[in-house]
Amino acid sequence: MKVFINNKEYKARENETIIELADRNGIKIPRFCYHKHLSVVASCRMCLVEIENIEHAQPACSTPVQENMKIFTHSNKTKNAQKNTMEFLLINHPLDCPICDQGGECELQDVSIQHGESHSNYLEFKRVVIDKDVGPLISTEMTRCIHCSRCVRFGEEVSNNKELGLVNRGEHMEIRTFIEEGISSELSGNMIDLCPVGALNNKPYRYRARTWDLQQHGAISPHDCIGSNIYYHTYNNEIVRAVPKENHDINQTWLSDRDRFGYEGIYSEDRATKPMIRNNKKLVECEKEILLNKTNEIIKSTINDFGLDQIGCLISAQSTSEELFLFQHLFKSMNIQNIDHRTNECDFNYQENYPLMPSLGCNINDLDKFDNILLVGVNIKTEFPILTIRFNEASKNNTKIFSIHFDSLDEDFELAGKIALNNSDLSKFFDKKKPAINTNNKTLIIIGPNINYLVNQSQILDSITKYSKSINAQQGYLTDFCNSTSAWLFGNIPHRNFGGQPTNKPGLNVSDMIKSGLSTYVFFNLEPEHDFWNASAVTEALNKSKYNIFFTSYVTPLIERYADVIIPISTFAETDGSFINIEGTYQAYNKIVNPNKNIFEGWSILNNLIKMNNLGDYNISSIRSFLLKSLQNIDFNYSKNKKFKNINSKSITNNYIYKNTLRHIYASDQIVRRSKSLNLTEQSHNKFIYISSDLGQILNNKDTLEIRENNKNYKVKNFLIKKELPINTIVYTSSFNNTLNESKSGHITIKS
Amino acid sequence: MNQKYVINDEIINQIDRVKRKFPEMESKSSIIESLLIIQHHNQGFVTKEIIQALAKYLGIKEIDVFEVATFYTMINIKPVGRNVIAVCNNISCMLRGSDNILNYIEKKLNIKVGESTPDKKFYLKDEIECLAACNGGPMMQVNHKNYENLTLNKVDKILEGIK
Amino acid sequence: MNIKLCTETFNLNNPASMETYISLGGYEAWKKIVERKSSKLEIINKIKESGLRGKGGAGFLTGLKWSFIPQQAKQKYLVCNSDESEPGTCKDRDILRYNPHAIIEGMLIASYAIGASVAYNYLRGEFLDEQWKVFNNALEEAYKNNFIGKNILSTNISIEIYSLIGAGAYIVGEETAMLESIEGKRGMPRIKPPFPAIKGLFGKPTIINNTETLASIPKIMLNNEGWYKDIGIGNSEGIKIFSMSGHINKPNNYEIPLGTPFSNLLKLSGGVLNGNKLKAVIPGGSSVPVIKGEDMMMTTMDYPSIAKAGSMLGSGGVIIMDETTCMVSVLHRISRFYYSESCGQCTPCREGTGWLHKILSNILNGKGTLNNLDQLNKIANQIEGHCICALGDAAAMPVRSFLKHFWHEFEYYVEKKESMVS
Ligand SMILES: Cc1cc2nc3c(=O)[nH]c(=O)nc-3n(C[C@H](O)[C@H](O)[C@H](O)COP(=O)(O)O)c2cc1C
Ligand code: SF4
Ligand code: FES
Repeated sequence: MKVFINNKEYKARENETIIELADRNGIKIPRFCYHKHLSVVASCRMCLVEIENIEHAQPACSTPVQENMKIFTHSNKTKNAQKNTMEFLLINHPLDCPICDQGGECELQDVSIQHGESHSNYLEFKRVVIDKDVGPLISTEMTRCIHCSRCVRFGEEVSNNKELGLVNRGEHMEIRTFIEEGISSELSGNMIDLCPVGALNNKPYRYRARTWDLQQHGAISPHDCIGSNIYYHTYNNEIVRAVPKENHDINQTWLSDRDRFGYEGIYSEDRATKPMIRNNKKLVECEKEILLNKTNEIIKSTINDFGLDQIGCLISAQSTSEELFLFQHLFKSMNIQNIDHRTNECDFNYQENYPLMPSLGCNINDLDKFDNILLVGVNIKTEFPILTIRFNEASKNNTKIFSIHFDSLDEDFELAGKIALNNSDLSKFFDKKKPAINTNNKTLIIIGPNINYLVNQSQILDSITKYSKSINAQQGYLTDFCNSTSAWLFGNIPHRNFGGQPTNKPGLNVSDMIKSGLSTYVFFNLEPEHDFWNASAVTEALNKSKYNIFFTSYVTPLIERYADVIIPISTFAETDGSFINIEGTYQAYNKIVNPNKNIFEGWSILNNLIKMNNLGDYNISSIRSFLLKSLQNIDFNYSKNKKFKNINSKSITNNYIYKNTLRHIYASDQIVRRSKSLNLTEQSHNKFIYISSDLGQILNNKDTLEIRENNKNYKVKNFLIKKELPINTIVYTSSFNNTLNESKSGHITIKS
Repeated sequence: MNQKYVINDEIINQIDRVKRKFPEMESKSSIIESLLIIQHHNQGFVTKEIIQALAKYLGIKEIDVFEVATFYTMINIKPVGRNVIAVCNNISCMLRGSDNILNYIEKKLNIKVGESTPDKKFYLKDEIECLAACNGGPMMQVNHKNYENLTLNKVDKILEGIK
Repeated sequence: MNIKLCTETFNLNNPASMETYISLGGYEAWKKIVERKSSKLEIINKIKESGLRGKGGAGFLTGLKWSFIPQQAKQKYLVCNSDESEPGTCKDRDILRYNPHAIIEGMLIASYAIGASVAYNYLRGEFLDEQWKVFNNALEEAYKNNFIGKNILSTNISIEIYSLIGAGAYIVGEETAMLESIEGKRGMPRIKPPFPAIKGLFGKPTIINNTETLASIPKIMLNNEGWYKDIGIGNSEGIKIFSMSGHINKPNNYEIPLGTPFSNLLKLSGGVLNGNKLKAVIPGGSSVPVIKGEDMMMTTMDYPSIAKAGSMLGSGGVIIMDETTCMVSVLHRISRFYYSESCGQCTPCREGTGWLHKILSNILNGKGTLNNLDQLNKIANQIEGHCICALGDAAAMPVRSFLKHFWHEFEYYVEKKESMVS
């Protein structure tokens, strides 16, 4: 279709609006209410443009193009109409840009400079709107609001968790929450970005810096395996805020609050800031040389004195690909096989049958192409909030989504059904309750991290795999850390080497490493308190071992107590890094801020050790080019088609009572756990222990649960009965710091 | 402390009747009439707790009900007097002297438009626009009932007749 | 000629009862259609041919509107607009309370013609006491007699009619705002296209007609082709109710053929109050431009003639103002109306109506300047044609017409800080 803008011919698409055509061709039309990911309301009237033969200027955002339409974006009529709108918008808007938080990046300010008049004829009183506290992440200055309703539409259309609404009408219209309520959506920060003026602001960022002093660094968010693209804004070598970086295939233009505010954890007080070694039972600060020598000496002497199998090497899957590669390279080159990253798991019988690496089973963009999606053991809303947007799109596109879990949890997209099964029933997948799906249709089954933590995960994986084969479904995974794919792929597992090559002599899995009490443990990026399936078992192992080496960004009480060597390392932000997301996309980024002078970049300190042992010498670019080249040669089908052999997990019967953990949205990794703002959110206050109603009956109104697990007894108070739980089930949040933290899952007995 | 509001069975019945007018999935459609029904049983206004209870019953978001409650002028979200007086003073009525009527009532009840009498007997509603009785002006509605061709005398009688 | 359509029952005993309605040939048209299973297209064509224009304000040809509905669509809706809130207009309320069955029969015929199985009548909230009750009773009667519901008159035709009640918002009278309101949302007009006939209530094709329009349908269907058309004059066929209010001796609703001279209508309604001089007339509800009395006396009550005089026939709410009227106060009052009824979504209307009202309040309080008068015109121009719905225009048009015709009165007020007439 031929359309003319400012007398120049453009090819327009059928059903395109003027603004879409203009945007595609870089022709500027001012706008406030229009946003390409939101419905068109055409209410701000900023985009008015002259169209030949139409008396009044028309909104470009809602007017469809027509063959031979002649549009003028700079004519007098257009300019006048836009100037008039601007004048209307400014009559009730404060004109104090210098003190406004949005100053310098305000769409209203920009447009008014270009399209408005410098003075206003308006001499009457301006509207004042009283602000309310809506929570720790967003600060409001609603007097500045221009009623574009982008934030409201975001809640209605994108996050499907509407908390802001239009209240009152006419000139008294306000954007606000329900009486006395705050904003608690897991995606709320996007409304800050959407707000074209300074009405909704980034609260933690307030008064930190002026925009023109900021530096922008593109990066990848490390807080989930989706790999959202993100810009970190720095001021004086410090991250002061984060905004989304558009990536159509991953996070589009959105960011979850966890990704946006998680970085605050970098500035936690308990950062490891100096190299330390234990000397006469006391940790003392030391030089880098001494640190490296001591570390190497411990490794060497363990091997020499006790044997290769007496050292256990554990790394977090939140580490960068570079770190994960060098870590396993260092130890596997020394023929050490006790390497693992699955620190939150306890049942590893599945591992031979596991694919080369976990993967979603499709591209994120293709989620809405399935007829059915079964989510098993995952709560998208709290574990992968950014995907809520995708599942919303999918459900609007008629994908039926089911949640199958040991708990009954809410999602912000429409669920076709919720099926709550206890561990035993989960391992007999759909023997009892079946989701109402047409099994001839395209189905995707996604297995979430909560399954990995269960004592009988292998049985469950086995049964799901059988089921999905039987209905020809695609099977995918969502993992608990941002780089589990790399961890698997590069060989940070005891039974496979780099690229999934089988080892001759598999090492111990993490659980056996802990249980068997090795001489030496190496921890990379792990907190013994939180990152293990059973914290007390780890404590015991640390206590019994001869040496404990910690590569760590934080010094926790257990590290302080048991470390023989503390190697302070960078967080993701202080190093060049890369992650492979759950779709299999490799994404690299450059260092965002420089680490303190005594903090080492993880990959470089590992490389020091590699060099010391004559095992090679790497730099970031040589690692990356090696990885990229290897990725090309890896047979991704390896083990994918391998039959799942029948797995005998620990036997499970329906008579057990199951105690299971739910991952807490803001306790999911070391950095997030330390984010001040996220810790103030409603979610962070929301910690609970739920028991199923059948257990409630046994208790007979007693307010204390007496539990026996692994021959230990303990008492639990402050629990609630949750009707929707499957029978024989107790569920609690992982961040709950009490005796239940003994293990992430298990079977227990209750004294009644 | 705020009491939790429980919608009683009689009102539930009425709301269910409203729901039947609309397709099953369109839960929001019942908001307006339901609010009027509940308000009628709650001394002429709705509270936060009522909105929460209604939202829960209809299976929709509280903010959606609140948006509606604040858009339509007949829904009061603050306590008001038991008897609602609405004096039209739009043009047709104004041309027939509605200002006098309104001033007279204000003086008589000793309140301004938008206020309720201290004994909560009367509420003199504000934001009154044309009540579609233009050829009966000046007119007012008392508890939704029309009184037309008003004179000061008539006003006296009407107000005195109210308990 | 003394033909009455909608007001036929008004002066009878028990006007709203089914008995009364049937005694005047009520439901005959509907029975015929049901019994003969008339062709939908024929009905639409007959309405088209009659020249019936919508009585809600815009005067759009009803038959033409109906013909836009995609016949093949499965679910369709009819909505009767009984939100009557335009200042000066009070005709629908009388039809609702005195002739509800005409509305019901009209809704049935319209639903049948467009293929809608569900129809809603949306009454403004303030009708809660009288009209709501009367109309609901009539509905019940009609259901009992099997004119509505499942298997109407033992055929396989089924149409449900429901009554709905608003809760106080003028803007809901705008048809797309009404759809939003029925969907249980804030009454904020939608952008068009898509038009309701394509994507309306609950996303389905929908026709919205005014109460008077629908109440006119049965008689048109019952009579021969050409009957309705011949009542009025060319280009303004048929008959219309005019609500006469303001400075007039016998304020009332008068249903008269279009094309009747205004002077006759004035006479019919008893002449100007107290025999005073006619100063000005708003001929079609407060949204339309005001016309000077002497110009109005030269006009006939039909679409082209009133347009020629610089205004619009609108909803037929005729507001009469005599020589004692202060035009500044009247315009101030009108501006308050649009200010408080703007839904608030589009910028020019939300901000502009408030600004107009504030300036006019200043003028009325003796704080106005001559500059303010130009400013009023300028703001009105800035609003007009730039809004989502016609409320913005409705707020702007009175301003410009009052200033145009009564500039000197405004000037006087600003300078002397008091009204020219009192
Ligand atoms: C601000 C505004 C208010 C309106 N109010 C009413 C009303 O109260 N009643 C009505 O029938 N039409 C009203 N209309 C006109 C309707 O939008 C619509 O045109 C009409 O209901 C169509 O019916 P008709 O074709 O039978 O006239 C209003 C329009 C606008 C812009
Ligand atoms: S013109 Fe006024 S009433 Fe109409 S949509 Fe815009 S703001 Fe709402
Ligand atoms: S961007 Fe088009 S009207 Fe707001």
